Amino acid sequence: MSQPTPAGTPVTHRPVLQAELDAIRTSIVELTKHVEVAIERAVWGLRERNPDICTSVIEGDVAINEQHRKIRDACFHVILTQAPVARDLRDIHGFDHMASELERMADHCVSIARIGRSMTELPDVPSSEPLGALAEQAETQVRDILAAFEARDTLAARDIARRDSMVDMKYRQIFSTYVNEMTADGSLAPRATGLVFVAHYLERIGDRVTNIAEELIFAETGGLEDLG
Amino acid sequence: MPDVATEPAPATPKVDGTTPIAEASVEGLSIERLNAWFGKHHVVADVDLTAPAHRVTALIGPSGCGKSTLLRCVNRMHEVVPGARVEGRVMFGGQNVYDPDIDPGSVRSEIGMVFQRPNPFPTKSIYENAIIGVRLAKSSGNRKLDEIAESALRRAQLWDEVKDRLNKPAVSLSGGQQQRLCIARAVAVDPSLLLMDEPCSALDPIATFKIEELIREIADQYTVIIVTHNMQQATRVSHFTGFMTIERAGEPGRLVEFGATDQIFGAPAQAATEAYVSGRVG
Repeated sequence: MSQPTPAGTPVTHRPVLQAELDAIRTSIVELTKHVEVAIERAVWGLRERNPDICTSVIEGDVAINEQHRKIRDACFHVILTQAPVARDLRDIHGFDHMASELERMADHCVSIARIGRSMTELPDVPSSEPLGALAEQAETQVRDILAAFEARDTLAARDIARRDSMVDMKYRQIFSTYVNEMTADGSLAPRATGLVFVAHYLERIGDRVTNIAEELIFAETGGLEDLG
Repeated sequence: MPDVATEPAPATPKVDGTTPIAEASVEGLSIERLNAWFGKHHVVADVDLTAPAHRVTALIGPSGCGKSTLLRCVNRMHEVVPGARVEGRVMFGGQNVYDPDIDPGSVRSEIGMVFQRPNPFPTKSIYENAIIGVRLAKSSGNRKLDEIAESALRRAQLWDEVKDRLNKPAVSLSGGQQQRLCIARAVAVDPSLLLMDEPCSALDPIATFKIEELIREIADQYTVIIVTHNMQQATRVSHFTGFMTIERAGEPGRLVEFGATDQIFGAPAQAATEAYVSGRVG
């Protein structure tokens, strides 16, 4: 018998399984990049009051949903045909969950884009800067979790999950700021209400990044950690 | 350890001076520092393993790693091969089955075994096969043989299929039915421990599912140890799994990892286990 090969090193006995796992991993990376773009464009369309950019996010979600479906099909196919165990099974489980989280993030982007498209004519609120900072923070979280996923870096995953508290804190600040502004000037309520929802969607995107961090750690270690 | 009040009464010595092994272990099986040889060939080295009572324990590993030999050491079948030798202890029912005072025959009647290929007695009827162990090894006490046969065939989930042709030869049954008949034969003597050496490798998927269903059913009554090459079978039927392997040709097989089946197949602790269950080596 040959010497046992450490997990993660190139293998020769199971080329089909390995190729299928690699292909799904690549699809997850692509899906994450599409979600990154969706967040960026949704917030951009909102801030620029540009309905075309907002519409492009809404229409782009069809492709993201299709990509999500393909990843789920591919995961199911591997489970069905290869009966994966151990790390392979944890990877597949993680891919499936990550794809669902990413698809839901894209849905949040669609919600932001819809709000943006409906508010192009509404007057500005005085404090729009904190929302921009929250959006940047959410984008950074998504970008960083992708890097951690590609590097299988559990330390980075834990660090990213910890940083979600900053997202939460920014969200709470924005919430109270807009409530105060609405209380002071009722005419701001239509746009401020929309922005509170936008902030909420960004905060949810942050939570989903934390879920992905947990999946990443489970795939790498087999241990369930509650990072939320 | 049981306290003194619950320990079984000493068994009556047999004519040859040995004593039958105590019946009905509630402690499962404990293998301690077990080593086995065929002549000078060291085939199993330093195995420590506890198979909990009323649970199914699977042994997996590549061909030639000593799984079947380990199984045959448990009921003292290894030593019947000329030149074969065993060292270590197999604790069962509070006794070491290798204690010089223990009668090997009583060990084999207390520890049932089911083999890779169905091996009913071909010239005997279904009924005779089911009760042959009772006739040979134990007195039936107050229970009638017909009741024992029916009970064993029911436990082996074969009764409904054979109740109208109990006097037909065993070889008139299909392979899967014959294997269940062998399981009926093994459970008819009410063993405390059931050893199964690849019991489904010669069966089609339907017969395999029936045997697996049966293993799950009987697990609450017996302690079961099953050797299997079918990893999915191990995940389906067993509570605990031990992975054995040999580091290189000619070396003895060793137990690399033992744990809950979900852990062994979900997140094995040893790289060698991970490599084997994932198909990275073979």
